[in-house]
Amino acid sequence: MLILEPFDTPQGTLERLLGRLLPDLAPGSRVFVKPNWCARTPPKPSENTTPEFLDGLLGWLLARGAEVTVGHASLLTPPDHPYMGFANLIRMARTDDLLERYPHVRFVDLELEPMEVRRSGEVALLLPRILRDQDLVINCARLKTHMMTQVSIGVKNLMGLLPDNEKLRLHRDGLEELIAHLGNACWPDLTIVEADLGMEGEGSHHGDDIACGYYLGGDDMLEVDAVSTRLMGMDPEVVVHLRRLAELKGETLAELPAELVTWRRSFRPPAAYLYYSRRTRVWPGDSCSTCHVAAKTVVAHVKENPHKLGDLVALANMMYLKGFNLYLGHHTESEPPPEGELAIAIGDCARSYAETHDLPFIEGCPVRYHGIRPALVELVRRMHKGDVAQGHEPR
Amino acid sequence: MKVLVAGEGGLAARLRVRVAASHELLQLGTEPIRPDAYGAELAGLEALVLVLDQAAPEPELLERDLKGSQALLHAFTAWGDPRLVLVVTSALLADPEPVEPDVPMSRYGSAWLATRAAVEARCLHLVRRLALETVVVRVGHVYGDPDVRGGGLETVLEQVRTSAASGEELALPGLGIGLPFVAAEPAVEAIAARLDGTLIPGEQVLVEGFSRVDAVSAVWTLAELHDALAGLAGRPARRKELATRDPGLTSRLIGSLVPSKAPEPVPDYRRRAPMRLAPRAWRKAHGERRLEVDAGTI
Repeated sequence: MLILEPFDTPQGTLERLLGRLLPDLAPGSRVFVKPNWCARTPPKPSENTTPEFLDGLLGWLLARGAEVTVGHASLLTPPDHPYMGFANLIRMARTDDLLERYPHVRFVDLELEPMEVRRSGEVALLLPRILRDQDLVINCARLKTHMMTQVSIGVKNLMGLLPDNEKLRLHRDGLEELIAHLGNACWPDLTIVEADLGMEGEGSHHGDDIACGYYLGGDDMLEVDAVSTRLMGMDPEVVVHLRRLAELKGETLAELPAELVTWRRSFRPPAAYLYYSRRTRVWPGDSCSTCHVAAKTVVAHVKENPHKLGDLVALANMMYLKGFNLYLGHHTESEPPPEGELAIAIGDCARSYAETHDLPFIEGCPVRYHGIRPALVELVRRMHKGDVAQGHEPR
Repeated sequence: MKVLVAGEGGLAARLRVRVAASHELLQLGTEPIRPDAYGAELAGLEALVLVLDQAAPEPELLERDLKGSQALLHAFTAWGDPRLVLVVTSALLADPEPVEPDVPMSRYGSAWLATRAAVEARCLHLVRRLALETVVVRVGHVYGDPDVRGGGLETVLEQVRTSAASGEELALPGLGIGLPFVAAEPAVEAIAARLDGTLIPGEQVLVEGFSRVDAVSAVWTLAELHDALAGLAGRPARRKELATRDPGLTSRLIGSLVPSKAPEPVPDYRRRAPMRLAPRAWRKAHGERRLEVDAGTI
């Protein structure tokens, strides 16, 4: 079942959508709600599950006598950066007042829950045992592009169920393949995409809002994701984790139903890199947030704390004149860095790319926020002296 | 019983030797607690002993002790056959049982204490959810044989001795925390006794230590030790001025007339009510809160 409901208000839209998706929800049903809480800074309108959406959903479920649990694991951060645990997460998602408004709802930090092993083929994944005790698992996603996985909808949202160390492992050992296995191992009963606003471009954190004007829901996560991707004007066949999940489930990716064609928007696809300053490009690859957060210290260093004139000159030259490329995560080794610009690689995932293209390399997994800054300054200083190769040189 | 003793210091090493004598000891190499090292290797594990007694800079504490312990507990619950969790911490002797897993550093004043409290809270929460036994051992300052030098406490005591002898101010974290000095051997025996089943839950053991006579009563802070050593060396005590400072006539007069209404210092997490009443309109719509008490987990 797949239903698109035009958006007017969060409560009204959810009332109509859930009325059709869950007409027979029995009182006393145990319902687990997994919101999309991924923002480490005040969220953009299309980044997180909004508190208004969650408010509407919880109100609807409780009014029907459901026993509701809302759960999320912590977000990855470098070890010397403020820990983005559950308490910080709900505060950042502006959801903390719901704790008081819904005393019957359990808000659960999944990092504290006992885990169990779930398997998808040969792949074993650690997932919270609490999911097993539920009658209904609702996966609340946003409609976003994603710089590493092309789209971030229902399947990608399941990563928020995993504990810290498992998230790190997924990024390190092949993100898209393992996300597909995660979807296969942990199939929610209902997936709802909150798409009054979507995010295009450099999602799932740095993109731009795009109005879409609907909520989409269904009991088949793969169908919801495939149709949502088509509604974004993209082809789900090129989204590796959706294609792999379809193979694992033995299904084909759903086509866009004719009656939904009018809702299609043309989302700007994500670029391969981000600009941190005028000439500083960050190539995230499939890196996790620890490297991202740590890499931001380059800009922070120049803005906050130029101890020496030489550093300032070197960094200003690098960031505003000559061009500087930061490579994080795994990259295709046949695609070299831009010619004539400085480039370095950060984090253990980028090691082989750095070795292939002879780039200066800062190792670590996870990378340290406070360790990367002096290492970068030292590198840039040495590059300007000519001690270290200045990135890729045309051969 | 299949047991893993995770930890890097001398206490963990001694425990490993002792446990191996009567149990099947799981070996994972050098046993540092790391966030990503464990998984199917813990298959069949029945008892997990976490020994958190090594000092480290703050990032290390967060990464290794907090996230590492958490990862180990996750793997234990998923792959193991959990029966018992033993957490050995050293710094929180007089604190109540921590309930808030993400404790603010400001509450404890140092990352060392905060990470210990966080790990204790995580262990307690987890084992209650699983209804299995947990023992938190707040062991104090553990010292080894006098001829084995260079341990964690040995380094600290050396600083205390040097500072007392030279008459300098002592700058160490946790100076004011009162802890007993406990010899490693009896501490290890007491912990192993719980694993062996010869010690029943709730039973207390008088662990000898310090001069090996009535040691449990010898609770010292490092500052007191410093002052005592300085006194022996004929140096002024570090906190002499503070101890004998006159509060002043006005303060004494006001103090005698107006009884102090200052609330007793209570940790943040104790101040917060664990449950809040729903607004009246909400209760009218949905009824009173139902309290769920699971006797099996309490």
